[in-house]
Amino acid sequence: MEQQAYLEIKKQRKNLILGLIATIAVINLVVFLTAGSDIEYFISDLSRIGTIGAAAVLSLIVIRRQGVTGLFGKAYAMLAAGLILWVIAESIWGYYELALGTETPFPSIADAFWLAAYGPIGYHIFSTSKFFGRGIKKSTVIVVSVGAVLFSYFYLQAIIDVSTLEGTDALFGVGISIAYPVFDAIVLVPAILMIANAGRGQLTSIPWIFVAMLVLVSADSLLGLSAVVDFAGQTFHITMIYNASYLCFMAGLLWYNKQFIISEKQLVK
Amino acid sequence: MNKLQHGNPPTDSDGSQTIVRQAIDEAISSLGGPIHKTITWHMNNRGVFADPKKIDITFFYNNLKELLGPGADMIMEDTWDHLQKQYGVQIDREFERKHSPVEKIQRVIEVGEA
Repeated sequence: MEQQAYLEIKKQRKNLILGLIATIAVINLVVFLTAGSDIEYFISDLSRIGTIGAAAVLSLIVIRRQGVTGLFGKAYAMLAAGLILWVIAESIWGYYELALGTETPFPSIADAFWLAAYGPIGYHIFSTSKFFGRGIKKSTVIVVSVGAVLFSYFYLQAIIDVSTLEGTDALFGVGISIAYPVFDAIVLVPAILMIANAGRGQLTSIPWIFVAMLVLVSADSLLGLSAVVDFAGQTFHITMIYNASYLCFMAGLLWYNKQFIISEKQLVK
Repeated sequence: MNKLQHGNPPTDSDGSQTIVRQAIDEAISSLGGPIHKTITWHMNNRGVFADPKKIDITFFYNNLKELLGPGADMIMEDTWDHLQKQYGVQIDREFERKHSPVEKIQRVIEVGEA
């Protein structure tokens, strides 16, 4: 019976991975094919709002089923809070581009929501790291931390070097641009460590939320650079990375909802 | 001081098994109610909790590790913490320093059986 249960978990994991890859491919193909066209902004904004919105809805379903007590209850409540803040940020971004028909200013009110989300998301990442991070060597922590500091240093240097913003808001804009990689570096350390420590446990072999964060950090890094050069280039490729990240959050929440919160029906089987 | 020392709990086999089971339950519960149910369901399916009065701690740990990977170690550490703080369990300091939570819990059970 146990062997059968394990095979079922394995099958469901495989299906989720294939489903995730297919969904990323389909959504990003549409983004790619419409890049440079009149509907580029419409598709890009809509895809990001749709994918993060779906992840946020799933996180609310998890909270409803799980409650907000215990290590995971609190961690997933915080994740939901962070995802909702990102939905608001993406929606503001979309409002500028789709409703007002203007380029989103930088910095904008959307940045406030983006940055505010790092609090609850960081809480989720660090609190669940206690669970996923057992057995990580101190030397690995040090190496990854030093790597993250170096990444931030060179990244900040690049932002300052390429900054073309002028006027009174310039300093504020660079400040916001700097805040992203600093916060990203903070969550990047546990994300890399948990991914490096992964591969074990029938339910835990893929640390989905950490994978999503790692992808998100790479999207943020590209966006931060493009922001300080006044959005000179196309950003559809950044949208594609964000979509991949949001869909990873979604996959993680689907997995958690299915495998960690077993239904009453299954419990009585 | 090789012998297990309790603050108050019983020192017989059933007593030590009972407090270990309670400590495990509390450690898993601290993750959240539904997860507690899920883990217990998996452990029941594997026959880990077959005997309500006894537990093979190594068998439990191995199954937990198979299910939750590194998270199993956190549960074992929390179980050991509960045993110490809530049930007043103490063992030889030298033994405590050198051994894993699983070994320490095993020690608690063995001393209770002795």
